[in-house]
Amino acid sequence: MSGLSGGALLPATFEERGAIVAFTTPALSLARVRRDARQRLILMMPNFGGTEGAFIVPWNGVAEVTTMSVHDRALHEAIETTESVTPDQVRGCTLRIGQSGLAGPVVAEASRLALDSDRRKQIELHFLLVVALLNSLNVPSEELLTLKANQEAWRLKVKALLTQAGQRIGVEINDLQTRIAALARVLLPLGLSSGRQDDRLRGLLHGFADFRDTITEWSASEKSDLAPFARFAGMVADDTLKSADGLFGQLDAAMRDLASVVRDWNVQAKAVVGLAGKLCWLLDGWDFIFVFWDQVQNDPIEIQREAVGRIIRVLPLIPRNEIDRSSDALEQQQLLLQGRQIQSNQDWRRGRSDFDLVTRIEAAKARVLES
Amino acid sequence: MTAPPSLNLFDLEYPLDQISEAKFREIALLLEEARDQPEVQTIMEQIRPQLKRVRPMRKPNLQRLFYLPFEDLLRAEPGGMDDGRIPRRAAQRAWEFVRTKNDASESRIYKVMETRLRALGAGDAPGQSVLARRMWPPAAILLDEAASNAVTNKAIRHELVGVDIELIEGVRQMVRLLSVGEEIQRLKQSLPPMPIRGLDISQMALIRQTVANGHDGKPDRAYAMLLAITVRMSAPAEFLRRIMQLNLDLPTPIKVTVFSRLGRTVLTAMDGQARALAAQTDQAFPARTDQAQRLVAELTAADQVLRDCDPTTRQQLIDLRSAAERACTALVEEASERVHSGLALGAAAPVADLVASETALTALRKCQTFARQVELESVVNQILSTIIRELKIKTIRLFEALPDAKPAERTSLERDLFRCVRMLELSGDPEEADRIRIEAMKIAL
Repeated sequence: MSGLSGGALLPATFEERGAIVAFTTPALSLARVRRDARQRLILMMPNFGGTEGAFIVPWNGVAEVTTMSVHDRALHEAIETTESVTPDQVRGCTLRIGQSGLAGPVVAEASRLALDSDRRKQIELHFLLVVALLNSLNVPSEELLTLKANQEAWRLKVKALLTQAGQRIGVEINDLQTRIAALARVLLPLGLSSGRQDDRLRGLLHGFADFRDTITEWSASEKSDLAPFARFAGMVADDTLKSADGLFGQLDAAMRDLASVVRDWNVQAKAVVGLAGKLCWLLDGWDFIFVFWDQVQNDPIEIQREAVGRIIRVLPLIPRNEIDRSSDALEQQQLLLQGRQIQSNQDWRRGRSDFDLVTRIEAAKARVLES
Repeated sequence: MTAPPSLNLFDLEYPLDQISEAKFREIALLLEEARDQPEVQTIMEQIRPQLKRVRPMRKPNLQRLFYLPFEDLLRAEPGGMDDGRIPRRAAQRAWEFVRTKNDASESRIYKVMETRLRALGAGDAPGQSVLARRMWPPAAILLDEAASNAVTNKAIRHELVGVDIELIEGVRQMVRLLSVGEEIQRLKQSLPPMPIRGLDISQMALIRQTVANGHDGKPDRAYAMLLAITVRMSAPAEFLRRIMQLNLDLPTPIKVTVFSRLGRTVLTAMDGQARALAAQTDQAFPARTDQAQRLVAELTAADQVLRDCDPTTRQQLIDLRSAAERACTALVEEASERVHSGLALGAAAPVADLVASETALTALRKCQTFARQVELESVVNQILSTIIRELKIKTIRLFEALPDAKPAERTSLERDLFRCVRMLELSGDPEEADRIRIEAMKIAL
């Protein structure tokens, strides 16, 4: 791939775009992992060394092109060992390595809390799905609310009620339990629209409007060549938000008829899994961009420019085969910027950047994990 | 005494200094409309730091055009300092003087310009530039004459600066900048927006060419052009060092004089930085290290620029270097103390304490990059070597304790091991850190 700007040069699919890896080495920050045509892992480093487009390196050759932090070496190894290439898989590695403390105590704490929260949410989601299924089949579930979830009595009651439910839709109890567990796993980052609190990716949607508005406003008052790029970032955020809203709408509609999803598993669950996967890919990386942008809101203008330059280079553009509708304004702006390089401002103050950047990236990583 | 109504803007639920930038821009424009009101002037003074940061689009007026060549040199404090800066009061007096003393034809021209300016959009820089270029030369001549005569003529002095005699030097400085206003404006439009962190070769060439073609053999003109750009730079001494190496078509003695004068502006700014650095004794190591790093880099550049300058300026530079060395030494000692007290902490210590010791260690590493320039290289290296040695000893003890540890202790020991790996990496030994990490991972994760 020779560039990420311009429709023709966009990756075709999310898998081709790759999953963001939360490295802390500045040169690798928000690089992406994916498989190549021979199914081997490769790393795409956006704008590496100031070049246009992305620099592609075989996974086992990353250490030869840049010096990685110790945390990144561990994360690199973990991804290679587990062959992680989806946002969810990569997040698993990130949390596991993060909790060791190799990216600092704040990331360690945030990783531990995120892992705990994921475990808790998965149980909660599983319970919600059971109750939703029972309600949709008019199987009384009030009794479950009076029992403690970790008691044997509770497990037996759930099994009994699910057996009743299974009989009504013609699904064996074991299959029913497996399917609900599978749905809980798939929906964990997204949650249910009826859930008490926004889950990780559903909650991320709130950040889009804020990012779009603030960066567009910034571009309006910006005097440097970065202004049109910042405006473009706002448009991409808006476009992604619209796509995500549409996908969440479809997912929530499908999940409203949970009984059908569980019954017609091969057809309906496939659609749910597909939508959930697409949402995970679509929103991958935006959490970092929101934090990077938020981090510099009260900083001097030159730091903000540096951040905008960094954001533009890793902007998660929607792959061309994944767009259902096209935005004329976005395409026009993209054409306008095609071939134009972001001018990185000369900086005579050397030796400043790496320590500060690593600190900033680690802080961003912790905030992303906390959210 | 009750504050005037508008000053209550700071007592609102969302005071003026806490609202969004968009709202701030709107309010700044409204205040701008009423800027002649004394209480609005007070508010403008209070929000000036925010105005500088947000830089909202200003409604153009003739006074603003008049200020353009020297706007970056304005300071709120009165005169008296030989730093090339212009007190705001001097600028205000000069503008009032020009408005009052313009002859009939010039006054008519100002009226026409005011009408044309009102018709121009706020962002029409070329249109405003045409008007400004017409205004500056006659104003410079008028002020130059007045400033010369003010020395001996009490009446003119009173009209020009009132009782503030020290403002005359500010007026003279304005004359120098107004005289080359066109060149300054051209450079400002071609260079990156302020603060400029660095310039590429073509931008440096443009400055060189503009100065060489524009000084007409007069040191004041070269000085004014270079000064206007110097104060827009993040690293002004470094800019002077680089531009000094280029051919400005100035005879060497004049060049030395020009750069000595420019050096005074830079040294005064650095003196403020050194004082600010020395005054800090808190634990905010990242900010203090950044300040120290900038100061030392600027000192090194200033040293080269002012190599052949007058003895007074040289002495000022020597004093400044001593002050910077003292401030850096204090910083290194405090950071070292903080790291050593943090080394005893296990990974289970409060996150804030762990972060504090990492921050201090990173500060030491950053100090390492400029320690040589302030004679601290061996001190910093020694401190870091000691830290590395202590960490290595600690990891050996942790590895030894692991086989006999109970499961609960084991987790804690493993976390302590990774903490040592992290600290070793931050201390500057990433390869040893990674070797220990690999060993630790075999038995942990």
